[in-house]
Amino acid sequence: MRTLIYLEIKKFPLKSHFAGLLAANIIVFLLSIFTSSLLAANGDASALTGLPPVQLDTLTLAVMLMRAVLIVWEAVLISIFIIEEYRNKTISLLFTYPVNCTKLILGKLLLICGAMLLFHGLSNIFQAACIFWAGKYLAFITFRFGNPLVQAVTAISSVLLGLLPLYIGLIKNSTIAAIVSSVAIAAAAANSQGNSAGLIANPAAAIILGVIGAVFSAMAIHRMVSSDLRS
Amino acid sequence: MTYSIEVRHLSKSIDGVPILKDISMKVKQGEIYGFLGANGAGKTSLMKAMYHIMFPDSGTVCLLGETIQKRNNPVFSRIGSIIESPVFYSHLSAYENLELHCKYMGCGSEKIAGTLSLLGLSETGSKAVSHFSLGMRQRLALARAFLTGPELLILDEPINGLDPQGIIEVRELLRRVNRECHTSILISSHILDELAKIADTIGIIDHGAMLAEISMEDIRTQGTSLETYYLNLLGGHEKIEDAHLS
Repeated sequence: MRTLIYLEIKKFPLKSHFAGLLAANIIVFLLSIFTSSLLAANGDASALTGLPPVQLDTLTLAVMLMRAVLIVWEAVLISIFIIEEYRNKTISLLFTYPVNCTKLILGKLLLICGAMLLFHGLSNIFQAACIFWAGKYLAFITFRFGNPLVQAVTAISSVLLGLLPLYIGLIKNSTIAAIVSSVAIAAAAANSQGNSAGLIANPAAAIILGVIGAVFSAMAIHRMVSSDLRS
Repeated sequence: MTYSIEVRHLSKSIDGVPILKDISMKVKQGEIYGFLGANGAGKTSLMKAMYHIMFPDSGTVCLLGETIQKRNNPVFSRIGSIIESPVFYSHLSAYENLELHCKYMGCGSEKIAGTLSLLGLSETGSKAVSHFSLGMRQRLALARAFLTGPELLILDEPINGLDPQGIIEVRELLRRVNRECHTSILISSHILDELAKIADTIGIIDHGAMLAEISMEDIRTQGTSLETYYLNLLGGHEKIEDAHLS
């Protein structure tokens, strides 16, 4: 399996994604600071209007935004590593190799999930460090560090949920379908009805969404292994 | 008699339309088998079914004595192939594509430079395959098929896109590999002349059904050419004459 993952990285290097991740984190950090300043101003206004202020600290907001970005990012990786293989027909070449078909696909998914877990971890650390530092200088920046276990469950669930576009992308054989569906999923996961930090920040909801993602990825694997490759 | 390929009663339908109808064929060890048929006759579909890229509805496929029941059979490491059009990771160079192939096939990459040179691709360097002409891509696909020293070659229209010089070179190369390494070769084409020049046995497929299997020696003994034999088999002479009259 390690060899298969190594070959995937050789085919599609991840180096450029790390630079992109840094850029995305910086943008989300700046956006969170800007939004926090607006929310702080809105808090003063709500005292006048009688409406409750939005209870969302800067770190939670940044992590929520980054989580949404990473769900879409995962769809991009799915498109590069899997759907493009179908579109370019290189998948038929892979099926002529003496390597177990399920292992080939699992190797790709493990790489995507591993990379995304790393991205989630690095992003959480980056946002926490930057917001902690910025909080020393800007009074409207607020933060509280959440339970690491809940954060881990949320990250794993986000990664599993992010696999759902694989199924949609395979049905349509389209990278656009995969990415557009991931935007809808990111919007649903960040929905504030269940939790102001997004539905997926609620551990019970996160586990359910993660299971849904895992079920759909299993269906996608079955589809890839057992269906004909036509021209 | 040992067979490199044995296909028995293979059938396949797509959306209720039969594309392969009860096909049986045998390729003897060390033989060059020419697979002839019009575009859409079912040549590529049969090759895909051999690899289970397209799952057969019924029938069996044996490659090098191994019955193929699923994708990615270990026996595939002893086979070189071009199925349908040559596909590559087009952002990578020729060398990198072949290196990947070696890793997947589980063999060393020491033969890459020599094989590239043999197919006239040694000067491509780090140029991405996306910048290759169709002929160069076809040569690279052949290099990939030959690279691991296979016992069986399954080549789907390997001379497509090659210039006349390239066609002659590839023909000679196939003959040499067959003669020196006793490699069995299944080669499909719709170019009658090329198959007549290279094949020992000809299989003719039309509308998904195998119409005939005949040795080139038998065709010559009948005092006819492959073209005449093919046209007679398909009732083509009448069709062509009708076309001229109309």
